[in-house]
Amino acid sequence: MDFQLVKTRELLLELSISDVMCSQVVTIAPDAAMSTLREVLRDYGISGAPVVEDDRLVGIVSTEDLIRWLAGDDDDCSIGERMTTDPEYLFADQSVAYAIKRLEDPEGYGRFPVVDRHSKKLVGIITKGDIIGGVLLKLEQEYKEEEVRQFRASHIFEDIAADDKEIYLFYDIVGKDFDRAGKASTRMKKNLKRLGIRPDIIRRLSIASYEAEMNVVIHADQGTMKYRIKPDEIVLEVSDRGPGIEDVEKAMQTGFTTSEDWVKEMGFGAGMGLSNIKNCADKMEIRSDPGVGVTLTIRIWTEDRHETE
Amino acid sequence: MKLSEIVEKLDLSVKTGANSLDVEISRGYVSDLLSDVIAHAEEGDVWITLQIHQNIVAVATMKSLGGIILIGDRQPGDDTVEKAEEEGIPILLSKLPAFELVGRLYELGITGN
Amino acid sequence: MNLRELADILEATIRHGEDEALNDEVSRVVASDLMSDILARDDTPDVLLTGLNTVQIIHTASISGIKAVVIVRGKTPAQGVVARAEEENIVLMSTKIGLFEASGRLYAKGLYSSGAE
Repeated sequence: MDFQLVKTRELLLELSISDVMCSQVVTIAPDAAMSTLREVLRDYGISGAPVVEDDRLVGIVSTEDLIRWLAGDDDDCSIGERMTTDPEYLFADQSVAYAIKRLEDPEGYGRFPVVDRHSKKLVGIITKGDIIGGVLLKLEQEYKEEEVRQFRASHIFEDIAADDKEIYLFYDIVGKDFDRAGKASTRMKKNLKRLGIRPDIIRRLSIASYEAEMNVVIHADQGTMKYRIKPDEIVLEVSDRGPGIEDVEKAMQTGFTTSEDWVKEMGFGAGMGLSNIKNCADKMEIRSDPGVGVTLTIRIWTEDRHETE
Repeated sequence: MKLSEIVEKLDLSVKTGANSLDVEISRGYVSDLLSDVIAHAEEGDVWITLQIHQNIVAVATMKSLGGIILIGDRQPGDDTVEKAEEEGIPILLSKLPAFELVGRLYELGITGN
Repeated sequence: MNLRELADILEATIRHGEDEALNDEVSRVVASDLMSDILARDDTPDVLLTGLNTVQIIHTASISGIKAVVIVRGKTPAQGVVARAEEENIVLMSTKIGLFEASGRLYAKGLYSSGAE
């Protein structure tokens, strides 16, 4: 998937029309004379204007209305008589993505008045040009923020001068608590993103971590997860105080399970966990002391290591 | 549609119950939760699952299901095979994931909950 | 197909989903009740159809990058499931129809399976 493109699409959904619209709107009153319209449009270099009475949008008038009036050779009259009443408009809190959709309609308009959803007052006007300008500005801001964030987080290793550098993160796991199970791994996934770790590595580590967390919840009373993040590898150590694994080799086989039925009904315990973890890891070790507990160590090599190898 | 026709059309491999494929199948049930199958599958259904534990044979026998299709290239263990032969329950294997296999059954006119 | 259309096809009730998220296009589906089965996939499905009704369906979606979860067979989401979906920003729906019918309908509309060759 194109990561950058997804971000841009997200941005269009995140941005509201109010973020990009032009709020300095040239408006005209319904009782103004039609003969004054030409100057207004010419002076401001616009091809139309919302018609506003008491801050409320009552219509829209454009060059076309002016031409039609001129061509008809009619007497002067009020804008109110010639404007389009019930004009289409957008709400300020709608997304920019939605505005683009409306502006792209070939049957539709090139500009929409923008109205506040609650007060119903006219607050701005939006064209494709406003969107391009607004989005570019926002992209630039986000890009700078992202750079700063990446600098702070992912360059942490380079910024700190030491012979050896590691970050440790600890999580407690409560056994048999299915509602909380998985929380440590989802939280960890967010931290890894913040640290600027590559997405495919995050995915492998999160899956391994989640399966390992579930194993502890299913089989033991309590446990801990320790993430050791080094410049060239991430080591996840999951230890529990539980019954231990009787036959590690057998436990590694896909489909082998000692889980009780209640675990199976929760969507786990099908004997796939350890092989899933193994597939995600560059290296995996299991140390089991029957009656004491299990320590599972998962190593995933990060970019730097792959490059130097 | 006969189970044997389904085997042929969906390219299933017959693991057990080769003599029990003459059964008429009109409905399917897909689930990996045994208690769900016990509660909701109906007699004669073909059951699609990736569970390979020998308990699947007990469930199929209890509910008089028409057969079991194991998806995702899952291989049943010896004890499961033994039990299925004993009970005459067809176990059929497919490499396809559940969604795809069910979609194809649906195309063949098999319905289900 | 976007998620709103998918909800229509499955006659599903949307339990959580921002307007914008429902416009997301989806193509890959996984139908499973076993979370490890989903986590074992090499690809990232867009939609999970499942008969399971626990917070683990949301955790699994979040870990593996799934956009939307559909609980089948008429189950109202269990306690905590909607709240987790909101936290993780996963679209959540539930439908009366079962896993077989739901898979069949979406397959017939041209959606394809995650993990298929």
